Amino acid sequence: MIIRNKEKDSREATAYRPEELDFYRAEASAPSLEALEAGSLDFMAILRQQRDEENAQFAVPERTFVEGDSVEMPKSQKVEKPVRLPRRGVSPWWLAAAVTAGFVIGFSMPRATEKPGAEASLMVTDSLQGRSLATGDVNTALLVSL
Amino acid sequence: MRLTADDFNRLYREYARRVQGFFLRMTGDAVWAEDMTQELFTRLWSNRDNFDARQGTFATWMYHAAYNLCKNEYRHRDVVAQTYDEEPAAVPSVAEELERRERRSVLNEAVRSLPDGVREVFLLRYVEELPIHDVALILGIPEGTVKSRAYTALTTLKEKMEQFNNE
Repeated sequence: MIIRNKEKDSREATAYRPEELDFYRAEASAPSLEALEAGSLDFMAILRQQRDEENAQFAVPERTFVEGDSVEMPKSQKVEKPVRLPRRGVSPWWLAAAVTAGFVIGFSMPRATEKPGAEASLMVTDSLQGRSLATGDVNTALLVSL
Repeated sequence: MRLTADDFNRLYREYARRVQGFFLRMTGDAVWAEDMTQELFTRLWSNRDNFDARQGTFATWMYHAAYNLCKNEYRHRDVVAQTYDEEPAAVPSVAEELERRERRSVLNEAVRSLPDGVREVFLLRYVEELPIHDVALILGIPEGTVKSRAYTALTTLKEKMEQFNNE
């Protein structure tokens, strides 16, 4: 019979691994933001001195804002935007015309079986479907015409 | 309370240089900083009716608009703050001056190498000396995030300056 030491078990369950302990110890000993600010005064002073020197050298033009004055640029000074021509795509009319032409040419072509003296061995076969042009379906006719 | 022309002119004289410096430190582009300062005040004047003194100070409102302009600029080009060392007016001695310049250069480089979000917080909080609450309003982030970014910035800069001191 195993007698378990419950108190020891619970201590083990809540115990931190060594690397976790290191992390929490480091976190606990880390300086607060206020302490960090207090320890950074030397380089903060350098940056602020630089800021003041730079700011003093800026040549800010004198400007007076007057109530009711428009601050928008007058129209005469506005730069006209260049006119951008719309990109022309394929017109649906042209597309329709091309498809119609395909149908007309496709159906007007003589079928292999209609040619006098044509032999089955000379027929062009549709490699995908394995069907001959002799079946004369619309899709095959279109394929040939296009 | 609506900003009058007199108020606005006074604020322009008070803040124009400060905000130009902020633009310069954020983008490193002196010409852009100068142009944007004028653009910013033009916009603020046009939108002065939107300023509500109950929601924050004029500085907060102005820096918020300035920060948005910087963000737009970031989008348009990959802005990396450049060096902005300025020549000092008075030179104490050659050795001191050299050491001071080098320290300043290392510090600027360290600030420049901070991630964007951290650098923004650092510049607003410690260079522009704005309170944490205002920085949070300007950047639109929680105060806790401002503090954590400020902490990151200070830790990084402190490490780099200690390295420089030990060399």
